Amino acid sequence: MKHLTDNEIIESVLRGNKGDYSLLIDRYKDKGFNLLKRILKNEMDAEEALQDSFLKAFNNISSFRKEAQFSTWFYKIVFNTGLSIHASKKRKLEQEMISIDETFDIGEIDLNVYASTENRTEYLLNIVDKLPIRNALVIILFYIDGLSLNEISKVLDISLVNTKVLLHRSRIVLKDLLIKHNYHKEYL
Amino acid sequence: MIHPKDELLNKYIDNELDSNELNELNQLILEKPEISDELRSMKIVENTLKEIEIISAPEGITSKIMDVINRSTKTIRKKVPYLFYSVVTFFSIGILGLVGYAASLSRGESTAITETINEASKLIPKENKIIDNSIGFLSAIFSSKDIYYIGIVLTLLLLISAYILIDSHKQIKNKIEHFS
Repeated sequence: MKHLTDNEIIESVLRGNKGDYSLLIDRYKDKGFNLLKRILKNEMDAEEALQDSFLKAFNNISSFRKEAQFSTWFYKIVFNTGLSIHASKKRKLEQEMISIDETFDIGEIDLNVYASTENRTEYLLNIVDKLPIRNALVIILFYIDGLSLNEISKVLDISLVNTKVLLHRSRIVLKDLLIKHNYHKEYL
Repeated sequence: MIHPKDELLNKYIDNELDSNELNELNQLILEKPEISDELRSMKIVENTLKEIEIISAPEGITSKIMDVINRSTKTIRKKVPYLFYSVVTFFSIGILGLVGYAASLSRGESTAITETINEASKLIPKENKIIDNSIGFLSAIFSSKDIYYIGIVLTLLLLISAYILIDSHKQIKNKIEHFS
């Protein structure tokens, strides 16, 4: 039972075995939580949004097309739920989401992060959270969730080219920050 | 716009450099040794990001969600293709209309049939008069030329209805995807 594919679990839920939905929850709760925590920057909000996302997915599971990946479909729900909760709290995110072409400057934030972290890894992981939301999400989806750029573009609802630009630009910013703080001279 | 040198570094990390680009990057490093620092820094970024640890979701979240699901009376069932059924129904009605029209074209034949029916009905007791009248009424309708125009109007209406149904279905689907 534990080795069922996502589609097999969905089939079972559609046959009326509601309990099997817990297998999908266990499979995606951590990844969904990571994404939401990056969007909402708050553990309680992220938990609430995660519950909301799973309930939305359950209520709409009959509209899920099996030719698509459940993970991509679910991440899209998670992303949109996170955005709507965030938008209801503040408008800053909307400004961050305006254009893919805008450049960003995290100069002052960078100094704070640099001052409050003890090593290169800690610094880098903290600075990822300070990147504009879409840049941070592309990194999380690519490196933690292992989604392809094509899947990420579907989740974020942007073109594949723009997804790639976001990833590349984020890497370049992080690379330049490491050089700025001479972290690149440390042992690899 | 990403600097061409940075694009080369990204491609190196993604293992997407062809031999010409690799030569170009090597040449750049020879000309500007600081680019090797940038390459090293890119590798550090890549390796560190690959090691990001996943944060676990709060304990007991699965049972919390399942409690809510189990409390709800809603049962998820497979989606019934209502749109498909309605289109099939509409077209079936349309086809029936056309059959009726075709029947009206064979007026002579239908008149003969009517006469046969009338003759036969004389032999049937009076209790069956209602059935006779109904058959007579129907054959009168299908032998009328007006049925031709009614058929065209009905077909047009059915096609327009089908188009509107498909269009509204697409819009609803888009809205659901947008909200989810």
